[in-house]
Amino acid sequence: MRGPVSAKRGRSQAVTRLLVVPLGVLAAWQGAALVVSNPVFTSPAETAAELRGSLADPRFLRSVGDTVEAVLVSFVLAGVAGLLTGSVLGLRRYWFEAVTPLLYGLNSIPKITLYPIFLLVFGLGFDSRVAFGTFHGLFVMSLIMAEAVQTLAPVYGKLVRTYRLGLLRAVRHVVAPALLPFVVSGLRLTFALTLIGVVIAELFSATSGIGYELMRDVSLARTDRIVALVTVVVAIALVPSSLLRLLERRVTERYALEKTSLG
Amino acid sequence: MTLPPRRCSVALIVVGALVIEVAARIGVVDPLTLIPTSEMARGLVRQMVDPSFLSDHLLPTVLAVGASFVLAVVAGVGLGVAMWRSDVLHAILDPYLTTYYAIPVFALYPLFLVLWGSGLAPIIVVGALSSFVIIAVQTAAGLRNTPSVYFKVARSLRLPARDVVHHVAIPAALPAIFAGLRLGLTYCVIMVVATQFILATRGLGWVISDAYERFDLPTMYGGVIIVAALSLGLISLLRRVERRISHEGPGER
Repeated sequence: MRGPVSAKRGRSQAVTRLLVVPLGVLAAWQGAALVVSNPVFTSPAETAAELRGSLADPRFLRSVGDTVEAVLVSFVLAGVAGLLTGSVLGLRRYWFEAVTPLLYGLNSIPKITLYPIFLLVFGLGFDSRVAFGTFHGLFVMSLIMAEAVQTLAPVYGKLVRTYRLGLLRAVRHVVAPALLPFVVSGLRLTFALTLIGVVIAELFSATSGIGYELMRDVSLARTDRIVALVTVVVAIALVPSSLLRLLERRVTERYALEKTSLG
Repeated sequence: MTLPPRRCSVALIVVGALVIEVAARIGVVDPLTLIPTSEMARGLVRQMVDPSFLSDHLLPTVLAVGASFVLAVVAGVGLGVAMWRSDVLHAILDPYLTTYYAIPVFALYPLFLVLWGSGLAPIIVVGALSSFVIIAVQTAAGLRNTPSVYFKVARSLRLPARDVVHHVAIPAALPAIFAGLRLGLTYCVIMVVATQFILATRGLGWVISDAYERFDLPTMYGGVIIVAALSLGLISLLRRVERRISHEGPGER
């Protein structure tokens, strides 16, 4: 038990650090609930009880499932579409300079104000939710990819030419590794934005889903349930975001090394 | 003939506007979905000359965005600096900050409404809460990524702490901080308008959702264009501030 003590200590320290934020939030929340002592401001314990009740309710579970399904579909669509459009846009300097400012402009518009247009085009239901979720996450991915391709070091192009690599091998051995860190961090942002997009869409037009539940609780002024729902969304967000973050760190470490060795 | 890229951007906007105008006029698209660009412009002008729109909806929106951005900058830069000074704090907060974007803060608006009344305060809190984190992340990243040799030089020149901050830390981190401020401002506008859109009973966001519910498409599209213009205008204002500070501000870059 002597050797791995420091590694073990390092790990237990990392775990302790990971716990600081959740515990701190809980303590602050409990403290605020005591100070405010207003029935609308529910304490963590009351919220947990509410959540336990909700999780036993099949309608609630179906709502969560519907949201997760819509988020997954829009995440894949937004990721693929953003990757492709961004890469194409990054290839030609001229179009990059002409189109990306417009995309940055579009990206800074509150997209929710365009949601009525999605309703008018796609109607109520699953399609408009997915379309809006995709739209909400697409821009970040596209912009990150365009910037990444545009700023790819020219030395990579020279490398491909020197070794006379064919297109496939060039993509596999040079382009993909160089772009991978950007792809992963783009995907992480895209995930967060599609999740928000889908929830926003559901606030408006759905007959099920987390957003729909939220809106119902808002109209019933059930703040206890609202807070419980927000914790559900946080939980849904936390798992994939943390996984993508781990992946991001691993990819960056691995390929950043190769980059420096390349010179 | 090739246009310079800047002109090409403008040309693309003009072409887009013309396509919408023509498509809507000849009836390719459903008139209840898309209306001609000129109708959108008419809706926009009608609102901009209406004093009650300006005082009841535009002004509160601008005030809420401004106040929440100021709050977010103070909190965000403060937290960012703290995360630069303390590695422990950085290690504790970092894993959570990146998932923070996915939290629908606006869902807590009804709660804030009960706590602080129906004035601007709840919306300002939503705006500030949604945007201070990205400012903190960028500030910390900018300061932490400053090459340590800069600080070594400062130390060997025996610069006092105040000068180190003023002439080394701030200029080196400024581009990253401003990138965070731009994103933060965007989030402020987005969240303020989104909250009005979904939950409030006034403001630009409310005007758009109300117009949608009444199928008043000129007002709806006009409102969307006003929000877009507000957002782009604020961002270009911020860019101007950035350019001024980085040109004549502390130290040179």
